[in-house]
Amino acid sequence: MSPQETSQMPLILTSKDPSFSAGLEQLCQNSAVRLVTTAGPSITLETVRNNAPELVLLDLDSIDAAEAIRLVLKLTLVSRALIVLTGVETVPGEPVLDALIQAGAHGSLLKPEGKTSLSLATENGQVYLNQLIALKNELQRRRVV
Amino acid sequence: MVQEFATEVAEHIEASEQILVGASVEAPAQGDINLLFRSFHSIKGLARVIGFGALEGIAHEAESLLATVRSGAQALTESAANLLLQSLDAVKQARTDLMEGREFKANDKLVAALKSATKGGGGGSAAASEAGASAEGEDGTSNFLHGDLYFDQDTLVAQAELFEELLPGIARAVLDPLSSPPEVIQEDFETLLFALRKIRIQALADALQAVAEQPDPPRFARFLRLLDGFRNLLSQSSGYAEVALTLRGWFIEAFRAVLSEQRPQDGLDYLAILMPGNPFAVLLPQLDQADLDDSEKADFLKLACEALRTDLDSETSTASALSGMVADRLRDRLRRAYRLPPVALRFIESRKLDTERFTLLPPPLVERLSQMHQSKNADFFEVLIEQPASKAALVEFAAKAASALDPIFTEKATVEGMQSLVILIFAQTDEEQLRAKIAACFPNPDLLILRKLDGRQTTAHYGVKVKAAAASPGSGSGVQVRVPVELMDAMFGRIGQFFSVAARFNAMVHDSQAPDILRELSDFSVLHAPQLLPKIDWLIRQQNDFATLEAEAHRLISLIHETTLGLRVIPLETLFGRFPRMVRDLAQKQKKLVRFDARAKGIRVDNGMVELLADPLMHMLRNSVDHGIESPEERLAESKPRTAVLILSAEQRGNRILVEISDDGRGINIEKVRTKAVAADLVTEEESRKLSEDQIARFIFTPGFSTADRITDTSGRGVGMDVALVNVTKLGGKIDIQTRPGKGTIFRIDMPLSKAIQPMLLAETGVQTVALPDRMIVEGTVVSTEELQNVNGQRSILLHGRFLPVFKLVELLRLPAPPEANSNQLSIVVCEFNGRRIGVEVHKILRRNDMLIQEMHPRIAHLPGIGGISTLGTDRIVVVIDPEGLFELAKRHTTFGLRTHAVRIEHGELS
Repeated sequence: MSPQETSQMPLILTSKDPSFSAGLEQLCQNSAVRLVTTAGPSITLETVRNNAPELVLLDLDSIDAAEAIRLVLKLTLVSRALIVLTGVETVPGEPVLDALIQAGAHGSLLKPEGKTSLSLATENGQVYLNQLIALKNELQRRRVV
Repeated sequence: MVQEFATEVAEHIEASEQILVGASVEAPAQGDINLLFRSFHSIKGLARVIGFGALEGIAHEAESLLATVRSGAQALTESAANLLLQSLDAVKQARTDLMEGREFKANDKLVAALKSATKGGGGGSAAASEAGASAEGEDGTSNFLHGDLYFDQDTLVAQAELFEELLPGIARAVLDPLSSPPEVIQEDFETLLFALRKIRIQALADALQAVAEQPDPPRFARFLRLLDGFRNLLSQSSGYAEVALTLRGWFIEAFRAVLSEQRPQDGLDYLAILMPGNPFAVLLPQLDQADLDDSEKADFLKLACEALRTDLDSETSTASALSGMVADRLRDRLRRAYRLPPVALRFIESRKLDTERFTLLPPPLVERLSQMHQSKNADFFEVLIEQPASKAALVEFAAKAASALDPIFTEKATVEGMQSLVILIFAQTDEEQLRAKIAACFPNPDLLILRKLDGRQTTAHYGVKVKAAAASPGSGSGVQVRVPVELMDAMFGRIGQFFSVAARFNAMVHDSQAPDILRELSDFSVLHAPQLLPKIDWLIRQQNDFATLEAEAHRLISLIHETTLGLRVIPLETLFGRFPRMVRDLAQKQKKLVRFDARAKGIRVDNGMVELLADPLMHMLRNSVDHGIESPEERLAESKPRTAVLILSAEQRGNRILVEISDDGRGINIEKVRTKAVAADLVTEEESRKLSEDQIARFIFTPGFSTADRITDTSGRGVGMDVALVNVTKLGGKIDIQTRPGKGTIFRIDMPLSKAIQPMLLAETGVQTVALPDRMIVEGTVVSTEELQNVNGQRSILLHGRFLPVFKLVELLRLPAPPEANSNQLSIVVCEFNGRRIGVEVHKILRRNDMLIQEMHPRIAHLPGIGGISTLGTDRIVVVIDPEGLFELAKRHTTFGLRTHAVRIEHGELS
């Protein structure tokens, strides 16, 4: 692992949408973020155990809500990583978001064009990544325990 | 049972095949994977019901393979898709075998291949394999099953039992240190921590460690909240309830403290333990992140604290009315920034866009869309661009789209059979400029489709989604019933007969003299037979009721007519969906690269036409792939893209549809066709030189005609294109060809939407009313007998500067000769078929009429020149002319070769 890699923030993305993963991977190249992507929730738990990330980003547009809730419950038991949800249903007041926060998710961030995964390819992509990092910092700051 | 199995299975095959064929270009969406999984699952169930063990085995293994794809354990690779397609082939074979009473043989090789593919999963991302490789446990075993907390459920249950046993004592000791010796409590902590770390439930262990170090309310509440998740996942009590009850007073006190400091968000763990389900447990974190100004946030926090205090005071776990009210207000406020104002939604609705997509949007997009209704000369457009195969190219592509078009949405989707990027934009309405702008950014602009979404469009990816229930009249519940086609046809036959009866009923009422006679009788009886007046009045009322009933019956039959016409039609997609697989397999076999695009555009056609149209389309598509489309190497040498484009599209024009098959291949070799046609004695060398390219191309429809130097499995035998022409003609249609060397070929089929009801020109022969299909009519004309000329022994007239051979219809159809007419005028219907024209002499041209064509008795079905029968309202039989048969009869009647001479006449050679 290079010195640059060690200073990077480890972030795990769980998304079944390959173009969203590809978009974020491209954005994270030469950034402060070291991105590890998983193609589905079934391997997220193990990837989190092995990478000790600061943040786990769950793409709700590509994962079944019930599956996501179970994953969040498990993640909170095995890791202190912040869990941030992204996707169209992460709008405040949406029942799915409520259920996931209840399960232990810490925050949410909408994709720039709603459900459109390709939106990361636009200049909105960098804005999105910056928002994500800012959100992580804010959530860490607010952590009570 | 067999029939039901066959029908159900056919539906699953069709749906699955479409997804799997598309998978070669782009990984299917999760919804599609789920659909595939369900399809194979259903096939397995159906096979079991019917006792088809061999098929059940294949479906089971395919389902297992899909389960790994569905869970994300592996991707749907091309080889996996191929295996699944082979499984579908096996299902098809099983279906055929079952229907034909044959035994379906097990395919052990396929089952083994599916099993191996399922086991060899894990082909997902690099990260996945990396994680899998390092998931070796301390004991050397693979510690974690995918997605599970630990590999051994029994161990987890034992952990839960350990919590149940030790935690209540720990909780009591926290409140009352004298309840247990400290060393015992310490030992309990260590036991629990050792177990948790052993099974690597690290965060829960860390939270417990924090409690062990300093057992204060926030740390215990944090741990307890995580324990709540643990017990829920395991459905094991884990001592949670007892501990929560023991420490309740402690937590209430701590929670009141944070509420008094207006920091409710710091007490979320207490809230979750004390009042599970309280709306603020989920709203407060959202308020924290909301883009509201500080004073508004502070107001809401104050209100929330007040409401939560009320809830605590009520000592029930349910939220108070105040809590409910404040929570609703907060939820509404949080969502406001994500909603479009009503005026913008109305604008979107007026453009027939799917408003569901616009209900909740990111705030910047809301801001942008909120202004759109005020824009002048601008509208929504949908841009469909062929999607590149690689992820990197896709991202680059989307970036280009973003910079060029400033899209509202950009999505990947399969639209009309094409894997596309579908971009929604809002732009100035100068389409040419817009097209040029898009073309400048994308390779292969020929492959882009631009649709203006101004509310007049019929289909669009971003358009209003037509609900299935709306498509079938009256099926509000969405429940569907399967009806055998034979039964439907029988019903349509009866409705046709009922139509005739209703028409006679109508004629009886309207042509009846009864009202006049009754009026006369009434007038007469006033003076001469007043005692009959009541009876006559009764008859008049009866007559009026009769007329009213007839009007009602007429209205109802019209409605039945409309409804049944709706039943007869089915989406053209059901037919077009059969071809992607065929084209893909054929292209793969011939090592050609073909992008096949089937665009049915939501057109619905008479169900009777679908089967008849299937063969012609299949032949023409095969022909295109086999002979039209070049190998990638040849295409490169010709400076063409390696991937050829084959498009099957349909367009509705009034009550007709235009189906086009176009390719960008080498085109038909006209010289080769001409030479072969001369060699086959279809045309003389001299005559062939005078034919246009399109006329020469039509020789490919001649039975047995082929220009292929090699015969493939699928074409080149000269069989197929003639069948295509025959079937299309049977449907009342015609085929045109347009071919350009090196550029490609377009086959254009023009046919009616329904073969049952067709527009006709009615004419009298003097002994029989006939109906000539509208599509064969060029014009009707009345000429003087003096204009008749004899050209090489053939009666002809000079029409528009060209000679037109004229035939008496009664002679062609061998009908009895009508009485000799005294008139010196001739009524001639100019007919055209397959590029040839003749004049058909009739006694009188009547009118145009839409007619329901009925099936003929088998004994008269073979009569040449007659395509069907119909009836007029008076139940008068009308003979429907078959264009192809009529021209065949004309050819036999002529004193010279009609085929070539008709062409010569068209060219004005016989002046």
